[in-house]
Amino acid sequence: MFDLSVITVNAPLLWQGLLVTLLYTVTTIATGLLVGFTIGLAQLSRYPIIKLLGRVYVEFFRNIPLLVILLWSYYALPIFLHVNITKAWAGYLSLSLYIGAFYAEILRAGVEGIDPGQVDAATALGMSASQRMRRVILPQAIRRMLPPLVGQSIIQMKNTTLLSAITVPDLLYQGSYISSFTYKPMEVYTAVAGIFLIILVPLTALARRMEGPHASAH
Amino acid sequence: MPVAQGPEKEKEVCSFLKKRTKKLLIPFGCTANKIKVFCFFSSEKKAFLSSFGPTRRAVIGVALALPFAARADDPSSVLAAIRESGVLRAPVMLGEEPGYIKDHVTGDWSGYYVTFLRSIAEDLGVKLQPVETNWGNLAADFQAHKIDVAIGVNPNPQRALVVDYLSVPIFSDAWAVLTQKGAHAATWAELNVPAKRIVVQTGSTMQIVARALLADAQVTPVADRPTALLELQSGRADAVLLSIFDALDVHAHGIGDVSLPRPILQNPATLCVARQPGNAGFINFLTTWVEQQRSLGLAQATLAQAWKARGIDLSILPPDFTF
Repeated sequence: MFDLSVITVNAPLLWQGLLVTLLYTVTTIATGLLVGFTIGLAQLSRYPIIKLLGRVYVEFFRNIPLLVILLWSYYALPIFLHVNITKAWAGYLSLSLYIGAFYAEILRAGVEGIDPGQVDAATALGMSASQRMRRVILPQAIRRMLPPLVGQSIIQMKNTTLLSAITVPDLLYQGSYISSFTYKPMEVYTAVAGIFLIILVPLTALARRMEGPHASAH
Repeated sequence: MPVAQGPEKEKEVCSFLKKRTKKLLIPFGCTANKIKVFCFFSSEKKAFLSSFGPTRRAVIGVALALPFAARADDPSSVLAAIRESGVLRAPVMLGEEPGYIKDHVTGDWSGYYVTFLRSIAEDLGVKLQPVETNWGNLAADFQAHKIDVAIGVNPNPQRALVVDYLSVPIFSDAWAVLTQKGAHAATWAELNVPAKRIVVQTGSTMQIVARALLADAQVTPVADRPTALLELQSGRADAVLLSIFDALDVHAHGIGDVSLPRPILQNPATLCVARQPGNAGFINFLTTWVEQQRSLGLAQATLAQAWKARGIDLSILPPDFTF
């Protein structure tokens, strides 16, 4: 039997969890964009050492599972560096740095995907490197980058559920909490899935619409 | 600004390194005023050291002094550090009712384990600081110095390699199984057949019990109790291995039936602390606290109150069973 009262009675807890999930989603995406932009530009640098550092960052965060980064930052930093980081900071930093690596790759691919002939044309018109980037490359690259950026951001919202592993009270944590005292996990996890669908389906649709004109332009 | 040279420089470097070393040792249970760190320069006496620069000589001196620093530590240092900090940090976790109960509105923690922990904190003259975690992360919490003591743990020699258990339990319950409604398990042997699907919690003593007594059954370890119950409720498991008190609490919510398979297996719940120099006094304090709780019937009274509040019926236990 599906007992809906479990959800209605505990709606305030789910609401609190949703707010925490949204808070982490928004703040880590904002920070991740800054990190991604910086690292992405580093990867495009003409200086090999900066390029290498960018690449190392991306490969480091892209190839370690997020849960490991999360647990490592929360538990290993105090052990190895005697930095007693709170779970809120561990969660925020891990998620931001992790998604930053993916955003950086999207930026790099977006810029490198622009026809080199356009760079030559802009150079022929006498534009400097920064002018070429601002006026010719980035406006086109950003249009191409938007769908994968939205896609990655949707994944980021789902990634926040890993925060429950270090007991940050996000939506999944509240779901586990409610099921721990009501003993009705099926109802609770169904509700959690429903909430994610309600928020993410419109965003996915938005990403698809963004892809549409871009795809038809080619 | 003149730069210190020669003996002055050596003194400066030495003082800096001493301070840093003391800081480094504090997480290992040494209080700053109890640590004696020796830092010396050996220019003439030990010829091999004279070939190094002043900073390097000091580093070597401090490195040589570290064993002495640890030895100089006294058995009360952990106890003193807790009292100095004003808080006793202990793990609390979801899905462990009635031992740990989180208030739905305030988020405050209660439950019989929390009552015990508050009593310990009160005797220490400090406040209890609940640190939320889960059983799987408990060892990391100790290693990262996020908690001082854990309660409700079952003695386990593997874990005793890294943490110190108290030699006395605060109480003992028994291992039970929560079966599908209408099913019953009179003995462990009845469950130990290939057709039976048993769920246990990862990293718990249940796993050891299952390995020993249910080797022929299909044993599935899961992360926590809600997941274990989900396995049972979705019909993917025949039984969940739980302590009798936890099983009765779940049953009080209308889930499954509780069996106490024979032979009855006692499940002692005790306390553990991080293994570190200077914790002997803390362990002694906790042991004394447990012995008082048991000898004066305080622990039993706390537990009885908890059962009453949760509507738990203990009649399944044999009349001569004591916890």
